[in-house]
Amino acid sequence: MDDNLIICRCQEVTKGEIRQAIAEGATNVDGVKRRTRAVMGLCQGKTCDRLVARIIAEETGQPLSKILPVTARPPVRPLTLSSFAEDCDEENI
Amino acid sequence: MRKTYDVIIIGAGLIGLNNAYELAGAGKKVLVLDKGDTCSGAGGGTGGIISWYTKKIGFHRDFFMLSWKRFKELENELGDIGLNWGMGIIQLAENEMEMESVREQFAGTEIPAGFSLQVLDGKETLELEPNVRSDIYGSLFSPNTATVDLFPFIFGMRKAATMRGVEFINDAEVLGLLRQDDRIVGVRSRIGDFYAEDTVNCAGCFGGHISEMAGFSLPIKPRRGQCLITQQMKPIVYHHILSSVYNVLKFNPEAIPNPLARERGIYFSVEQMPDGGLYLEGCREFAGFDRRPVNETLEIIVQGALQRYPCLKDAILIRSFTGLRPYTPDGLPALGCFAGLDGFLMCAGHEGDGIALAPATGLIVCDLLTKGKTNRIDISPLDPMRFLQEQA
Repeated sequence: MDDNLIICRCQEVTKGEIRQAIAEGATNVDGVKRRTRAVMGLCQGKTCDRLVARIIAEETGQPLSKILPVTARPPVRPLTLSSFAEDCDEENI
Repeated sequence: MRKTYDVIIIGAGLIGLNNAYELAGAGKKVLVLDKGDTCSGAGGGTGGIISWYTKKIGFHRDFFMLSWKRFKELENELGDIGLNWGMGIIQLAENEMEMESVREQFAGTEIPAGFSLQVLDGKETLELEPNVRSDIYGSLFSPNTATVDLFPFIFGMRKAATMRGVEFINDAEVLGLLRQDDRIVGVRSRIGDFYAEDTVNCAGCFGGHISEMAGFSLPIKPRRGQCLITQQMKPIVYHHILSSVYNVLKFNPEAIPNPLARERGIYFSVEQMPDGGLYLEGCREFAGFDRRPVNETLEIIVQGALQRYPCLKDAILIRSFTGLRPYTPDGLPALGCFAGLDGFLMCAGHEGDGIALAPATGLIVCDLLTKGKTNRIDISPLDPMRFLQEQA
Protein backbone atom coordinates (compact mmCIF):
# COMPACT_ATOMS: atom_id res chain seq x y z
CA MET A 1 0.00 0.00 0.00
CA ASP A 2 1.41 3.39 -0.92
CA ASP A 3 -0.53 5.32 1.71
CA ASN A 4 2.76 6.44 3.30
CA LEU A 5 3.93 8.18 0.14
CA ILE A 6 4.39 11.91 0.78
CA ILE A 7 2.35 13.84 -1.77
CA CYS A 8 2.60 17.39 -0.40
CA ARG A 9 6.27 17.85 0.40
CA CYS A 10 5.95 21.31 1.95
CA GLN A 11 3.44 20.16 4.56
CA GLU A 12 4.44 16.45 4.57
CA VAL A 13 0.95 15.18 3.80
CA THR A 14 0.73 11.51 2.80
CA LYS A 15 -1.43 9.77 0.24
CA GLY A 16 -3.22 8.01 3.08
CA GLU A 17 -4.20 11.31 4.69
CA ILE A 18 -5.48 12.59 1.36
CA ARG A 19 -7.55 9.43 0.82
CA GLN A 20 -8.89 9.86 4.37
CA ALA A 21 -9.92 13.45 3.58
CA ILE A 22 -11.80 12.21 0.53
CA ALA A 23 -13.51 9.54 2.64
CA GLU A 24 -14.54 12.32 5.06
CA GLY A 25 -16.25 14.34 2.35
CA ALA A 26 -13.66 16.22 0.29
CA THR A 27 -14.77 16.29 -3.35
CA ASN A 28 -12.17 18.68 -4.78
CA VAL A 29 -8.66 19.97 -4.13
CA ASP A 30 -9.93 22.75 -1.83
CA GLY A 31 -11.69 20.16 0.30
CA VAL A 32 -8.52 18.08 0.61
CA LYS A 33 -6.51 21.24 1.27
CA ARG A 34 -8.66 22.35 4.19
CA ARG A 35 -8.77 18.92 5.79
CA THR A 36 -5.06 18.10 5.51
CA ARG A 37 -3.21 21.40 4.93
CA ALA A 38 -1.87 19.99 1.65
CA VAL A 39 -1.30 22.73 -0.95
CA MET A 40 -1.04 25.35 1.86
CA GLY A 41 2.74 25.34 2.17
CA LEU A 42 5.50 27.39 0.64
CA CYS A 43 4.99 26.25 -2.95
CA GLN A 44 1.19 26.67 -2.73
CA GLY A 45 0.50 23.50 -4.67
CA LYS A 46 2.92 23.97 -7.57
CA THR A 47 4.25 20.49 -6.79
CA CYS A 48 1.23 18.66 -5.44
CA ASP A 49 -2.02 20.27 -6.69
CA ARG A 50 -2.28 17.97 -9.74
CA LEU A 51 -1.13 14.96 -7.70
CA VAL A 52 -3.93 15.62 -5.20
CA ALA A 53 -6.36 16.04 -8.09
CA ARG A 54 -5.28 12.71 -9.54
CA ILE A 55 -5.88 10.95 -6.22
CA ILE A 56 -9.36 12.53 -6.07
CA ALA A 57 -10.01 11.31 -9.63
CA GLU A 58 -8.92 7.78 -8.68
CA GLU A 59 -10.94 7.69 -5.47
CA THR A 60 -14.15 9.30 -6.71
CA GLY A 61 -14.24 8.39 -10.39
CA GLN A 62 -14.48 12.04 -11.42
CA PRO A 63 -12.52 12.78 -14.61
CA LEU A 64 -9.22 14.55 -13.84
CA SER A 65 -10.07 17.34 -16.26
CA LYS A 66 -13.08 18.29 -14.13
CA ILE A 67 -11.08 18.67 -10.93
CA LEU A 68 -10.13 22.32 -10.87
CA PRO A 69 -6.93 23.60 -9.24
CA VAL A 70 -7.03 25.75 -6.12
CA THR A 71 -7.90 29.37 -6.94
CA ALA A 72 -4.86 31.39 -7.95
CA ARG A 73 -4.21 34.37 -5.65
CA PRO A 74 -1.39 36.89 -5.28
CA PRO A 75 1.53 36.57 -4.82
CA VAL A 76 2.38 34.51 -7.87
CA ARG A 77 5.51 33.45 -6.07
CA PRO A 78 6.91 34.14 -2.58
CA LEU A 79 8.42 37.55 -1.85
CA THR A 80 9.31 39.57 1.24
CA LEU A 81 6.73 41.79 2.93
CA SER A 82 8.92 44.84 2.32
CA SER A 83 9.12 44.09 -1.42
CA PHE A 84 5.40 43.54 -1.58
CA ALA A 85 4.64 46.89 0.06
CA GLU A 86 7.47 48.95 -1.45
CA ASP A 87 5.18 50.94 -3.75
CA CYS A 88 2.66 51.68 -1.04
CA ASP A 89 2.45 55.39 -0.21
CA GLU A 90 -0.19 55.19 2.50
CA GLU A 91 1.05 55.80 6.02
CA ASN A 92 -0.20 55.40 9.55
CA ILE A 93 -3.20 53.27 8.75
CA MET B 1 -40.65 5.74 -1.02
CA ARG B 2 -39.18 9.12 -0.32
CA LYS B 3 -36.81 9.61 2.55
CA THR B 4 -37.91 12.10 5.20
CA TYR B 5 -35.63 13.67 7.73
CA ASP B 6 -36.42 15.42 10.99
CA VAL B 7 -34.27 18.38 9.98
CA ILE B 8 -32.68 19.62 6.77
CA ILE B 9 -29.89 22.13 7.33
CA ILE B 10 -28.96 24.37 4.43
CA GLY B 11 -25.26 25.19 4.73
CA ALA B 12 -22.47 22.95 6.06
CA GLY B 13 -20.43 25.78 7.56
CA LEU B 14 -19.70 26.32 11.21
CA ILE B 15 -23.25 27.37 12.10
CA GLY B 16 -24.86 24.47 10.24
CA LEU B 17 -22.35 22.04 11.75
CA ASN B 18 -23.00 23.10 15.34
CA ASN B 19 -26.75 22.92 14.76
CA ALA B 20 -26.43 19.46 13.19
CA TYR B 21 -24.22 18.18 16.00
CA GLU B 22 -26.57 19.32 18.76
CA LEU B 23 -29.73 18.17 16.96
CA ALA B 24 -28.27 14.72 16.25
CA GLY B 25 -27.27 14.52 19.90
CA ALA B 26 -30.91 15.05 20.78
CA GLY B 27 -31.91 12.15 18.54
CA LYS B 28 -32.92 14.02 15.40
CA LYS B 29 -32.30 12.59 11.92
CA VAL B 30 -30.42 15.37 10.16
CA LEU B 31 -29.42 16.03 6.55
CA VAL B 32 -26.98 18.84 5.77
CA LEU B 33 -26.83 20.19 2.22
CA ASP B 34 -24.19 22.56 0.95
CA LYS B 35 -23.80 24.05 -2.50
CA GLY B 36 -20.11 23.25 -2.15
CA ASP B 37 -18.25 21.76 0.78
CA THR B 38 -17.74 22.76 4.39
CA CYS B 39 -15.57 25.92 4.46
CA SER B 40 -16.55 27.12 0.98
CA GLY B 41 -18.16 30.04 2.78
CA ALA B 42 -16.98 32.33 5.57
CA GLY B 43 -15.18 29.51 7.39
CA GLY B 44 -12.73 29.16 4.55
CA GLY B 45 -11.58 32.76 4.69
CA THR B 46 -11.01 33.87 8.23
CA GLY B 47 -9.03 33.43 11.43
CA GLY B 48 -10.58 32.51 14.73
CA ILE B 49 -10.54 34.75 17.79
CA ILE B 50 -13.05 34.22 20.58
CA SER B 51 -13.12 37.44 22.49
CA TRP B 52 -15.46 38.56 25.27
CA TYR B 53 -14.59 42.22 25.55
CA THR B 54 -15.61 43.10 22.01
CA LYS B 55 -19.17 41.98 22.75
CA LYS B 56 -21.64 44.67 23.80
CA ILE B 57 -22.94 44.38 27.35
CA GLY B 58 -26.38 42.89 27.59
CA PHE B 59 -27.73 40.34 25.20
CA HIS B 60 -24.62 40.16 23.00
CA ARG B 61 -22.32 39.46 25.94
CA ASP B 62 -24.74 36.93 27.47
CA PHE B 63 -25.02 35.11 24.14
CA PHE B 64 -21.22 35.02 24.00
CA MET B 65 -20.90 33.61 27.53
CA LEU B 66 -23.30 30.79 26.66
CA SER B 67 -20.98 29.93 23.77
CA TRP B 68 -17.81 30.30 25.83
CA LYS B 69 -19.03 27.63 28.26
CA ARG B 70 -20.14 25.36 25.43
CA PHE B 71 -16.69 25.59 23.81
CA LYS B 72 -15.17 23.98 26.89
CA GLU B 73 -17.76 21.23 26.83
CA LEU B 74 -17.20 20.62 23.11
CA GLU B 75 -13.50 20.26 23.75
CA ASN B 76 -14.28 17.58 26.34
CA GLU B 77 -16.68 15.82 23.98
CA LEU B 78 -14.61 16.01 20.81
CA GLY B 79 -11.03 16.11 22.04
CA ASP B 80 -8.56 18.56 20.52
CA ILE B 81 -10.50 20.98 18.33
CA GLY B 82 -7.70 23.46 17.84
CA LEU B 83 -8.55 25.73 20.75
CA ASN B 84 -5.80 27.80 22.33
CA TRP B 85 -7.18 29.17 25.58
CA GLY B 86 -4.14 31.18 26.51
CA MET B 87 -3.60 33.27 23.38
CA GLY B 88 -4.85 36.59 24.71
CA ILE B 89 -5.51 39.75 22.72
CA ILE B 90 -3.35 42.85 22.76
CA GLN B 91 -4.89 45.95 21.24
CA LEU B 92 -2.13 48.42 20.43
CA ALA B 93 -2.16 52.14 21.22
CA GLU B 94 0.32 53.93 18.96
CA ASN B 95 -0.35 57.55 19.78
CA GLU B 96 -1.93 59.63 22.53
CA MET B 97 -5.40 59.56 20.94
CA GLU B 98 -5.39 55.76 20.79
CA MET B 99 -4.05 55.54 24.36
CA GLU B 100 -6.90 57.76 25.50
CA SER B 101 -9.42 55.60 23.63
CA VAL B 102 -7.91 52.48 25.24
CA ARG B 103 -8.38 54.04 28.69
CA GLU B 104 -11.99 54.92 27.79
CA GLN B 105 -12.62 51.42 26.51
CA PHE B 106 -11.25 49.95 29.73
CA ALA B 107 -13.34 52.29 31.88
CA GLY B 108 -16.45 51.46 29.89
CA THR B 109 -16.08 47.67 29.93
CA GLU B 110 -17.90 45.56 32.45
CA ILE B 111 -15.54 42.71 33.32
CA PRO B 112 -17.26 39.42 34.16
CA ALA B 113 -16.05 37.20 36.99
CA GLY B 114 -13.03 35.14 36.03
CA PHE B 115 -11.99 37.50 33.24
CA SER B 116 -9.53 40.34 33.23
CA LEU B 117 -8.69 43.40 31.17
CA GLN B 118 -5.64 45.57 31.70
CA VAL B 119 -4.31 48.87 30.40
CA LEU B 120 -0.56 48.48 29.85
CA ASP B 121 2.05 51.15 29.26
CA GLY B 122 4.71 50.92 26.57
CA LYS B 123 7.23 49.07 28.70
CA GLU B 124 4.68 46.49 29.89
CA THR B 125 3.49 45.97 26.30
CA LEU B 126 7.05 45.33 25.15
CA GLU B 127 7.47 42.74 27.88
CA LEU B 128 4.58 40.77 26.41
CA GLU B 129 5.41 41.52 22.79
CA PRO B 130 9.16 42.19 22.53
CA ASN B 131 9.07 42.53 18.74
CA VAL B 132 6.41 45.24 18.50
CA ARG B 133 7.60 48.76 17.58
CA SER B 134 9.79 50.05 20.38
CA ASP B 135 7.96 53.38 20.62
CA ILE B 136 4.60 51.75 21.38
CA TYR B 137 2.51 53.93 23.73
CA GLY B 138 0.70 51.08 25.41
CA SER B 139 -2.10 48.63 24.93
CA LEU B 140 -5.30 47.04 26.13
CA PHE B 141 -4.60 43.47 27.15
CA SER B 142 -7.19 40.73 27.56
CA PRO B 143 -5.52 37.49 28.67
CA ASN B 144 -8.72 35.44 28.71
CA THR B 145 -9.45 35.37 25.04
CA ALA B 146 -9.04 32.22 23.05
CA THR B 147 -8.12 31.53 19.51
CA VAL B 148 -9.09 28.54 17.45
CA ASP B 149 -7.33 26.84 14.59
CA LEU B 150 -10.34 26.86 12.39
CA PHE B 151 -9.90 23.85 10.14
CA PRO B 152 -9.41 21.32 12.97
CA PHE B 153 -12.45 22.82 14.71
CA ILE B 154 -14.74 22.86 11.70
CA PHE B 155 -13.77 19.48 10.33
CA GLY B 156 -13.72 18.03 13.83
CA MET B 157 -17.35 19.16 14.20
CA ARG B 158 -18.22 17.67 10.83
CA LYS B 159 -16.66 14.32 11.75
CA ALA B 160 -18.37 14.31 15.14
CA ALA B 161 -21.70 15.13 13.53
CA THR B 162 -21.17 12.33 11.01
CA MET B 163 -20.46 9.92 13.85
CA ARG B 164 -23.77 10.96 15.38
CA GLY B 165 -25.52 9.93 12.18
CA VAL B 166 -25.79 13.28 10.41
CA GLU B 167 -25.77 12.90 6.62
CA PHE B 168 -23.80 15.40 4.58
CA ILE B 169 -24.16 15.98 0.87
CA ASN B 170 -21.70 18.33 -0.85
CA ASP B 171 -22.36 20.03 -4.18
CA ALA B 172 -26.12 19.99 -3.54
CA GLU B 173 -27.16 23.61 -4.00
CA VAL B 174 -30.67 24.38 -2.76
CA LEU B 175 -32.65 25.83 -5.67
CA GLY B 176 -36.01 26.23 -3.98
CA LEU B 177 -38.12 25.36 -0.96
CA LEU B 178 -40.97 22.84 -1.08
CA ARG B 179 -44.13 24.28 0.37
CA GLN B 180 -47.53 23.00 1.38
CA ASP B 181 -49.88 25.87 2.35
CA ASP B 182 -48.11 27.68 5.20
CA ARG B 183 -45.51 25.06 5.82
CA ILE B 184 -42.08 24.41 4.35
CA VAL B 185 -41.86 20.63 3.96
CA GLY B 186 -38.46 20.32 2.36
CA VAL B 187 -36.11 21.61 -0.30
CA ARG B 188 -35.46 21.23 -3.99
CA SER B 189 -31.75 20.84 -4.57
CA ARG B 190 -29.53 20.48 -7.61
CA ILE B 191 -29.51 16.72 -7.02
CA GLY B 192 -33.15 16.20 -6.12
CA ASP B 193 -35.87 16.87 -3.57
CA PHE B 194 -35.55 16.20 0.15
CA TYR B 195 -38.25 16.35 2.81
CA ALA B 196 -38.14 17.23 6.51
CA GLU B 197 -40.29 18.40 9.42
CA ASP B 198 -38.02 21.42 9.80
CA THR B 199 -35.64 23.21 7.47
CA VAL B 200 -32.95 25.48 8.89
CA ASN B 201 -31.35 28.25 6.85
CA CYS B 202 -27.65 28.31 7.83
CA ALA B 203 -26.50 29.66 4.50
CA GLY B 204 -24.44 32.55 5.86
CA CYS B 205 -23.87 35.12 3.13
CA PHE B 206 -26.49 33.34 1.07
CA GLY B 207 -28.95 33.47 3.96
CA GLY B 208 -30.89 36.27 2.32
CA HIS B 209 -31.01 34.40 -0.97
CA ILE B 210 -32.57 31.37 0.77
CA SER B 211 -34.99 33.48 2.82
CA GLU B 212 -36.22 35.03 -0.46
CA MET B 213 -37.28 31.52 -1.44
CA ALA B 214 -39.48 31.53 1.66
CA GLY B 215 -40.95 34.86 0.56
CA PHE B 216 -39.02 37.10 2.98
CA SER B 217 -36.39 39.71 2.14
CA LEU B 218 -33.64 39.99 4.72
CA PRO B 219 -30.77 42.52 4.61
CA ILE B 220 -27.99 39.94 4.94
CA LYS B 221 -25.10 40.86 2.71
CA PRO B 222 -21.49 39.75 2.33
CA ARG B 223 -18.81 41.92 3.93
CA ARG B 224 -15.36 41.16 2.68
CA GLY B 225 -12.16 40.79 4.69
CA GLN B 226 -8.74 40.42 3.10
CA CYS B 227 -6.01 38.26 4.60
CA LEU B 228 -2.38 37.30 4.05
CA ILE B 229 -0.19 34.40 5.14
CA THR B 230 3.58 34.24 5.51
CA GLN B 231 5.93 31.32 5.45
CA GLN B 232 6.46 29.50 8.73
CA MET B 233 8.74 31.47 11.07
CA LYS B 234 10.30 31.20 14.50
CA PRO B 235 8.16 32.75 17.27
CA ILE B 236 7.79 36.50 16.76
CA VAL B 237 4.23 37.35 17.79
CA TYR B 238 2.97 35.86 21.03
CA HIS B 239 -0.65 37.05 21.18
CA HIS B 240 -3.43 38.03 18.85
CA ILE B 241 -2.55 41.63 17.99
CA LEU B 242 -5.11 44.22 16.99
CA SER B 243 -4.68 47.86 16.08
CA SER B 244 -6.90 50.30 17.95
CA VAL B 245 -8.18 51.43 14.58
CA TYR B 246 -10.32 48.26 14.61
CA ASN B 247 -12.46 49.64 17.41
CA VAL B 248 -12.53 53.16 15.99
CA LEU B 249 -13.78 51.63 12.73
CA LYS B 250 -16.59 49.92 14.55
CA PHE B 251 -17.83 52.82 16.64
CA ASN B 252 -16.47 56.08 15.22
CA PRO B 253 -15.34 55.63 11.60
CA GLU B 254 -15.33 59.38 10.80
CA ALA B 255 -12.31 59.76 13.11
CA ILE B 256 -10.08 57.78 10.73
CA PRO B 257 -7.80 60.22 8.85
CA ASN B 258 -6.93 58.18 5.76
CA PRO B 259 -9.89 58.18 3.32
CA LEU B 260 -8.92 54.90 1.68
CA ALA B 261 -8.67 53.18 5.05
CA ARG B 262 -12.02 54.62 6.07
CA GLU B 263 -13.75 53.59 2.86
CA ARG B 264 -12.42 50.04 2.93
CA GLY B 265 -12.52 49.60 6.69
CA ILE B 266 -8.80 48.79 6.80
CA TYR B 267 -7.25 47.81 10.13
CA PHE B 268 -4.33 45.72 11.23
CA SER B 269 -4.20 42.44 13.04
CA VAL B 270 -1.65 39.64 13.22
CA GLU B 271 -1.52 36.25 14.83
CA GLN B 272 1.12 33.58 14.59
CA MET B 273 -0.50 30.27 13.75
CA PRO B 274 0.42 26.92 15.34
CA ASP B 275 2.66 26.01 12.39
CA GLY B 276 4.56 29.32 12.67
CA GLY B 277 3.06 31.17 9.71
CA LEU B 278 1.82 34.69 10.35
CA TYR B 279 -1.78 35.51 9.56
CA LEU B 280 -2.36 39.19 8.71
CA GLU B 281 -5.61 41.07 8.30
CA GLY B 282 -7.65 43.05 7.31
CA CYS B 283 -10.52 45.15 6.22
CA ARG B 284 -14.31 45.24 6.24
CA GLU B 285 -15.79 46.34 2.95
CA PHE B 286 -18.79 45.73 0.76
CA ALA B 287 -17.86 44.26 -2.61
CA GLY B 288 -20.75 41.97 -3.42
CA PHE B 289 -19.63 38.38 -3.78
CA ASP B 290 -16.28 39.26 -5.33
CA ARG B 291 -13.63 37.18 -3.57
CA ARG B 292 -10.64 38.52 -5.43
CA PRO B 293 -8.11 40.30 -3.16
CA VAL B 294 -7.22 43.86 -4.15
CA ASN B 295 -3.47 44.46 -4.38
CA GLU B 296 -3.71 48.04 -3.16
CA THR B 297 -5.53 46.99 0.00
CA LEU B 298 -3.17 44.08 0.61
CA GLU B 299 -0.19 46.45 0.30
CA ILE B 300 -1.72 48.80 2.87
CA ILE B 301 -2.28 45.91 5.29
CA VAL B 302 1.33 44.76 4.83
CA GLN B 303 2.59 48.33 5.25
CA GLY B 304 0.57 48.41 8.47
CA ALA B 305 2.24 45.20 9.63
CA LEU B 306 5.73 46.61 9.00
CA GLN B 307 4.82 49.76 10.91
CA ARG B 308 3.96 47.73 14.02
CA TYR B 309 6.49 44.90 13.60
CA PRO B 310 9.47 46.33 11.69
CA CYS B 311 11.35 43.02 12.07
CA LEU B 312 8.92 41.47 9.59
CA LYS B 313 10.39 43.26 6.59
CA ASP B 314 12.05 40.05 5.38
CA ALA B 315 9.17 37.72 6.25
CA ILE B 316 8.09 35.80 3.15
CA LEU B 317 4.56 36.29 1.89
CA ILE B 318 3.10 33.12 0.33
CA ARG B 319 -0.65 33.63 0.01
CA SER B 320 -3.49 36.10 0.12
CA PHE B 321 -7.19 35.36 0.25
CA THR B 322 -10.48 36.91 1.18
CA GLY B 323 -13.47 35.91 3.25
CA LEU B 324 -17.07 36.98 2.86
CA ARG B 325 -18.86 37.31 6.17
CA PRO B 326 -22.66 37.65 6.50
CA TYR B 327 -23.40 41.18 7.69
CA THR B 328 -26.65 42.45 9.13
CA PRO B 329 -27.47 46.10 9.87
CA ASP B 330 -27.54 45.65 13.66
CA GLY B 331 -24.62 43.26 13.95
CA LEU B 332 -26.69 40.35 15.25
CA PRO B 333 -27.79 37.25 13.34
CA ALA B 334 -31.35 36.49 12.32
CA LEU B 335 -32.40 33.47 14.36
CA GLY B 336 -36.01 32.44 14.56
CA CYS B 337 -39.13 31.88 12.53
CA PHE B 338 -40.96 34.07 10.07
CA ALA B 339 -44.51 35.02 11.01
CA GLY B 340 -47.07 32.78 9.41
CA LEU B 341 -44.61 30.22 8.08
CA ASP B 342 -44.06 26.85 9.73
CA GLY B 343 -41.24 24.40 9.24
CA PHE B 344 -38.56 27.02 8.45
CA LEU B 345 -35.99 28.47 10.82
CA MET B 346 -33.67 31.37 9.97
CA CYS B 347 -30.17 31.04 11.37
CA ALA B 348 -27.76 33.32 9.53
CA GLY B 349 -26.03 36.69 9.72
CA HIS B 350 -23.26 36.11 12.26
CA GLU B 351 -20.64 38.43 10.74
CA GLY B 352 -17.60 38.87 12.96
CA ASP B 353 -19.05 36.49 15.53
CA GLY B 354 -19.60 33.29 13.62
CA ILE B 355 -16.93 31.37 15.45
CA ALA B 356 -17.58 32.84 18.88
CA LEU B 357 -21.34 32.33 18.72
CA ALA B 358 -21.56 29.02 16.85
CA PRO B 359 -21.74 26.75 19.91
CA ALA B 360 -24.47 28.85 21.56
CA THR B 361 -26.35 28.96 18.25
CA GLY B 362 -26.31 25.15 18.18
CA LEU B 363 -27.77 24.95 21.69
CA ILE B 364 -30.54 27.42 20.90
CA VAL B 365 -31.52 25.85 17.58
CA CYS B 366 -31.63 22.42 19.23
CA ASP B 367 -33.91 23.80 21.95
CA LEU B 368 -36.18 25.45 19.38
CA LEU B 369 -36.57 22.31 17.29
CA THR B 370 -36.91 19.84 20.16
CA LYS B 371 -38.91 21.87 22.70
CA GLY B 372 -40.36 24.71 20.65
CA LYS B 373 -38.57 27.32 22.77
CA THR B 374 -35.38 28.04 24.66
CA ASN B 375 -34.94 28.98 28.32
CA ARG B 376 -31.21 29.68 28.08
CA ILE B 377 -31.53 33.27 26.93
CA ASP B 378 -34.19 35.61 25.58
CA ILE B 379 -33.65 35.47 21.83
CA SER B 380 -36.10 38.17 20.84
CA PRO B 381 -33.19 40.47 19.77
CA LEU B 382 -32.51 37.87 17.06
CA ASP B 383 -36.04 37.76 15.69
CA PRO B 384 -35.77 37.82 11.87
CA MET B 385 -39.04 39.78 11.73
CA ARG B 386 -37.21 42.81 13.19
CA PHE B 387 -35.80 43.50 9.73
CA LEU B 388 -39.23 43.42 8.17
CA GLN B 389 -41.05 45.97 10.30
CA GLU B 390 -41.35 48.52 7.48
CA GLN B 391 -42.61 45.87 5.13
CA ALA B 392 -45.17 44.49 7.59
